[in-house]
Amino acid sequence: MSNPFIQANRLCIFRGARKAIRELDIDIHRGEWFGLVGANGSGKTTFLRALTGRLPINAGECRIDGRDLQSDRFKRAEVIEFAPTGDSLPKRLSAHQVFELLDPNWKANLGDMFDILGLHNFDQRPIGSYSAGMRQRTAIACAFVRGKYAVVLDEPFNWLDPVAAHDLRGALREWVTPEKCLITALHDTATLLSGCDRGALLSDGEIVFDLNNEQLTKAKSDMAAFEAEMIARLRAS
Amino acid sequence: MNVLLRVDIAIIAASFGTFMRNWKDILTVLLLIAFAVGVAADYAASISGTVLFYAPIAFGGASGYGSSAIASARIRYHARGSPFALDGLDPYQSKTYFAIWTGCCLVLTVFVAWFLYTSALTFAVLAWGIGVVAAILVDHYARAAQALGDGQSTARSGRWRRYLAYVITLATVTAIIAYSVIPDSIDQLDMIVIGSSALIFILLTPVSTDSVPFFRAMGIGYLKQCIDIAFPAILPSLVLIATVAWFVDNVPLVLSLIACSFAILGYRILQIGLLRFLSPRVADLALGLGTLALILFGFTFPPLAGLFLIVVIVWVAYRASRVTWLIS
Repeated sequence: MSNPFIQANRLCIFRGARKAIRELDIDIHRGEWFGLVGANGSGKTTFLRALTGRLPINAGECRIDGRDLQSDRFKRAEVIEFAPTGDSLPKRLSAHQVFELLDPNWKANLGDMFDILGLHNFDQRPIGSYSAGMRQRTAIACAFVRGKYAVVLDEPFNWLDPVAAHDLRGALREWVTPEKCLITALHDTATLLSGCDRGALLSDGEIVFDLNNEQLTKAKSDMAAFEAEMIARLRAS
Repeated sequence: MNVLLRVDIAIIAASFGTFMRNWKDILTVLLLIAFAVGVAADYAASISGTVLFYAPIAFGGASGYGSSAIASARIRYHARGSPFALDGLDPYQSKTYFAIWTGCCLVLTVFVAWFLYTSALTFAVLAWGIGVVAAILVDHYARAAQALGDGQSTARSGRWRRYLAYVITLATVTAIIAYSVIPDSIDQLDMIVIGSSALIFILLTPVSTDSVPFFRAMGIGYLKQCIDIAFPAILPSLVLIATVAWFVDNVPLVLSLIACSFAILGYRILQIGLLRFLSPRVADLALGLGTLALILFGFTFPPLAGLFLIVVIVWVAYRASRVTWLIS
């Protein structure tokens, strides 16, 4: 297998006095859709925000494309794009204005994603007038407008209607070409099985269960049993 | 052009567009501006030369500090998770953004000084510079404190706060005992005791704007968060109150100490509560406005202040205890 695109060794992230991520080891390769599963407060968002420079990493090694960027938040943000939360979008501006400010070539970078997310229906209106689902679609699009090859999405299917979620799942699967990589925090095992190449279960800042491609493929044959196992592990954690 | 600045301009333009939807709105604003300028000019003509001399200096200091603090806060906000996080984290973008906003305020300061009292121009610019530097220092201190609280050195950070608070407690207790043995040995004992009590409470009950929503998301209840934060300050405060009650025959001072402790505790409890269901910026704003209203009621009609405080605490407690998870 090729060298990992993202490699974290003994990574520690603190939130105030609490160690939210405890000596986490993880490898993520190009061409992968990596799904991170865990209970509320298990450290998924903290890890993903730190990975993309939104939070500092307090200890350990964080290699991205071979370079240790543990202490360089800007470089991490430059390489890996992160979808903001819907609440952090400027309410007075329209999605169109936000995309234009992010990158003048946003239309080309977004490509089919613009239509798949249904942005054409509302992108000229102020974000303050959007529903939660519209804000979520806009936030997801923000992660793709700069044309980055590595993207992190934190629970992207929240607030989306079933059709939008289905279409987005397909679009994300297509987006992950051999040179790109996608990392998502997830709460549903269905997406983990149907979309992701690999995954991990996070509990209290530690990876308690590694899910490789073989395990995920095998789980597809008995989804109910896999879901039951995951629920049992989540309950135990 | 700087991206962060373009974002601000776009937001200002959009907000302006929302408020100025028709010619009636524009006319109202123009009339208000004309009225404000007229009142200001009339007031300026009536005030003394000394006030006119100090006004641009005060404006310079305030604009320097304000622009520097606001620009830093905005950069930090972007860096932590707005769609423009990359630009907020970019050293060049953030520095130019900071320079542009503070520079605009320098130009405004020069204009105000030139308009009000030209001889005060140098002092006004100096005040602007001091304001900018002061805000940078405060920001650096806040970041350093955050970094200390955010790492393996947390224990160390907590330790220096605790040690300092204990040293102050010990020093104050010693001063009180010394005063009781040799009366009139210490001037302004009341102020020293009340000030120390406030400092001890402030040092031992730090509230992190990040940690409160984080622990709320983890399912920690409002009451537990308040107890966790207030608990370390209770024993030193009790020691101080007990010492004053025992060694100094001054009931009003004991009551003032208790009131001071409760006031800071109340402030912290409200701060935690607001941070549980509002964003940090809105929570700070609400807390500031609430405190101002409380002070206003306290000075104008004291009974109303108590009632207002009770209503606010009950409302905040009700809202804060209802939110436990992020999606709620």
